Amino acid sequence: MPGPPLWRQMYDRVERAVGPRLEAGVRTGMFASTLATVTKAQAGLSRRGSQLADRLGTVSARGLHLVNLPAADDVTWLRAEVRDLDRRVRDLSRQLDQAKWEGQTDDRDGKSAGDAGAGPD
Amino acid sequence: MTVMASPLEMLARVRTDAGRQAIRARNGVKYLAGIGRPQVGQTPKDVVWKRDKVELWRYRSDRRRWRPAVFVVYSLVCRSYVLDLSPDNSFVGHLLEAGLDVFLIDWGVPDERDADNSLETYVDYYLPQAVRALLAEAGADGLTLLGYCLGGDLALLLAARHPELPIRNLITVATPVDFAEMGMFSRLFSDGRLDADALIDATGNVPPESMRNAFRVIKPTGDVTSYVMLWQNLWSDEQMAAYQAMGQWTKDHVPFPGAAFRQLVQMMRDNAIVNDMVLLSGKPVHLTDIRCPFLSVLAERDHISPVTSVGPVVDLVGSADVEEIRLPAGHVGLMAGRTASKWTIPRIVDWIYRHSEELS
Repeated sequence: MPGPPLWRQMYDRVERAVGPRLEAGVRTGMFASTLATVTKAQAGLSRRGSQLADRLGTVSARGLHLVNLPAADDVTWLRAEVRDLDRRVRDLSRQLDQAKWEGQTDDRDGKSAGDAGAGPD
Repeated sequence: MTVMASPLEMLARVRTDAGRQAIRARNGVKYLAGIGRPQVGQTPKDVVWKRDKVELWRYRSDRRRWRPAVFVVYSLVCRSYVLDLSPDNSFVGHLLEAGLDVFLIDWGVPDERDADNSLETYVDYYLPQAVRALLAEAGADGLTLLGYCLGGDLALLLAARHPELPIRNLITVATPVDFAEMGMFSRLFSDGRLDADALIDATGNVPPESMRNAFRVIKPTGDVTSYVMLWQNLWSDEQMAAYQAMGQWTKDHVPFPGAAFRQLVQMMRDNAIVNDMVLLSGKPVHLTDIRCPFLSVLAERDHISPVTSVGPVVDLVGSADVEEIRLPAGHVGLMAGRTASKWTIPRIVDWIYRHSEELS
């Protein structure tokens, strides 16, 4: 079976030489500090962007509400309501699952305890 | 001495190259246009249990001849179809061929409603419920639990925290336990350089792009190598399909639920598993409470879960029957591709056989 083409062999050779050094660089504290700073800055910018969008949204929402139309704020509020409702339903179904399981376990334990007790003394 | 090729041989080579270039051009256009993407996760299965977005799948098979069933727990950050990429490259398919009864838990795609999912949600609710559903479905009184990557951590916590569950055997694959050895991730979070909340978005989850970028950063030459492989394989329809399936998966992350992510970051800072400091619902979880036969599979070239982060697990569990398999592979190569089918899967299957019963 023929080996990889020459250009691929050359790439692999370069990658083997460069790759581990780059990976070692990525594992340094300095790289982690730089990446952390960039990530925090991005998160900060994203937050400011959403705050600005919120302010603009409030202005446009007033206009839409004047003509009795829903705005993005209303959709956001509705989504939050649906999410909370969904969480409550999930909590309830988890509690039900748990209770059902504990009931089954109790039944089994009760039955086996009863069986044990039913033997001749 | 250089042997000159005859004119006929030269012509044949030119013809082959011209043919390959034509296929390259066609496949290149298809790739760029996103046409003809391979179907993944095609092994037939049934959903046997479902809660919220979480589903328990049982793969169909008429070859089941070993018990207990194998329950595969996958990571929270990627899609589970990497274990079933294509009919000839499927971890699940190989297990089925080996006569095993295979179940897999798929976490779905979390959204803002899942932002409060904590590690307890997975370890104390979804997984125990899924185990009970599996036992009922298989009519069994035990199972072999197999966790991959972060799914292995969930499997370890489940086995340690729930001794009442009939976990007969436990297998972890590429599962990090020594978080101080996780390279960039350790440095980023452990030394307090970055808080979990810096990565959590308005939905309350870590967005998939962040996960994808993190994995790209730890392997800086990965993208270039990927394009080099693309060029090399572009002339072959078969290899192109395999490349696309894997390429699709490496870009296909899912949001990481914020609550679980915060806990994971804290666990990294405390190096909680190695230091025996894991707390779930305020109660300690000790890996020494795991007593069932245990197998750890690790990859020597794993850049996500390095050997040094995976290796210590064999000394942390309380099992008397402990085995470790080290393979010359990468993180994904352990479960997909040629290394997986030639080395990893046969050895895992062999271990499972030695810890199971053949049905008469």
